[in-house]
Amino acid sequence: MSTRAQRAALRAYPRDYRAERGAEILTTLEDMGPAGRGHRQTLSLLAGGVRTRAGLAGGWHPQGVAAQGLRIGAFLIAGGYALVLLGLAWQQRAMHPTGLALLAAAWTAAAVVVLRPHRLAGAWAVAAAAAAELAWVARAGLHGGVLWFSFGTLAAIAGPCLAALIAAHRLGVPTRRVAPWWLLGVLPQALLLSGVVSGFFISSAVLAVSVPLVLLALAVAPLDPRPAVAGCVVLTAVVLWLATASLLGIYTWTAPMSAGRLLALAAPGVLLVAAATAGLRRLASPV
Amino acid sequence: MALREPTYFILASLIDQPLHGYGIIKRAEELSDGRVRLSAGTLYGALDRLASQGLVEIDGEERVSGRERRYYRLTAAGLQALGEESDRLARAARVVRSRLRAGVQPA
Repeated sequence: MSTRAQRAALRAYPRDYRAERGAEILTTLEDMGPAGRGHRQTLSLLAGGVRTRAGLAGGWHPQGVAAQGLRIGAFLIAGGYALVLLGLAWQQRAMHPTGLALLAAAWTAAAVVVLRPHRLAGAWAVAAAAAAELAWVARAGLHGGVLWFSFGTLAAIAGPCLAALIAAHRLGVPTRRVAPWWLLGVLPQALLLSGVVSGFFISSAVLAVSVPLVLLALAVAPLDPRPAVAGCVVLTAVVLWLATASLLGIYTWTAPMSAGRLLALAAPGVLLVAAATAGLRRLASPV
Repeated sequence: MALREPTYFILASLIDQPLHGYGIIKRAEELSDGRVRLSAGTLYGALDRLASQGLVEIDGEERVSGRERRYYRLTAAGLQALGEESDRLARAARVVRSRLRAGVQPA
């Protein structure tokens, strides 16, 4: 007899997979005798189920998965930035009644298009939103440090987005449907970015959101490296933005403070790159 | 691309005859001198992947006293992949063995 824990673990697999293979897997466990009833079997069923549900079992190529991770990263940046702009539009509604809201709409549209793995559509949408923002910044009457900071922010946001989308396009378009459970990460991502942009990056609230997110991406990387790949993309944008803010002396950070912020990002950056690489290697040859 | 050891022995277990899940687990353990001990989740993940790569296929199904078993066999492509990998391993072993026989002393 298979144990109750194993039959529960089997539920980690999608329903249609269970209908097709469930009885066969339970038979194999029963055939194995005592060795088939241990925790090792239960854990391996859970891991297999999660991989299958995430769309990563079977015919996935690491390139397709890497491409998806890059697209998710670009989506998180564009979507998060759209929310940040929306917040700014509300804050500065007296000064800029419509301009910022329109920009937020443009970046929202770009984020939606980024989700569709259709050739370079996402990259063009991001380029269009960035061009609109460039035109707005040029006309908004900004000058000096604030003007350069606006340009720098735009480059830090649009640059990694475009690079990730172009790289994803070159890697190839994934063909399998994937459950978009990672969308749950959007809201905290927005909080993270808004925290960054409002200058409270190392505030406890932002840490409370970003640390679990990074830990989650690291934890699931052996099963699904996409969040780790996406995390690398997002972190690149954050580092570029911090570097811009530091160079321009925004928020009156001292040099050690800026260096400290950048160093604080180095550790999760290295871990995310390592986890993403290891996860993709494992996908290429999982056992 | 080099096959990992478990994948190599899953394919190797199917050389002589089609096998069902537990048959593959047992045979892979025998052939690898006990090194490859497959869990069910790993085995079925690997079989799904190997099937999608066209290296194995379903040979048939049987139902005996309420137990459902599915048999798997190697495809021509699977046999070829296995042959290439064993050639690669043999070449790698030969290089080292010939040097060891020549009496190269460690520095």
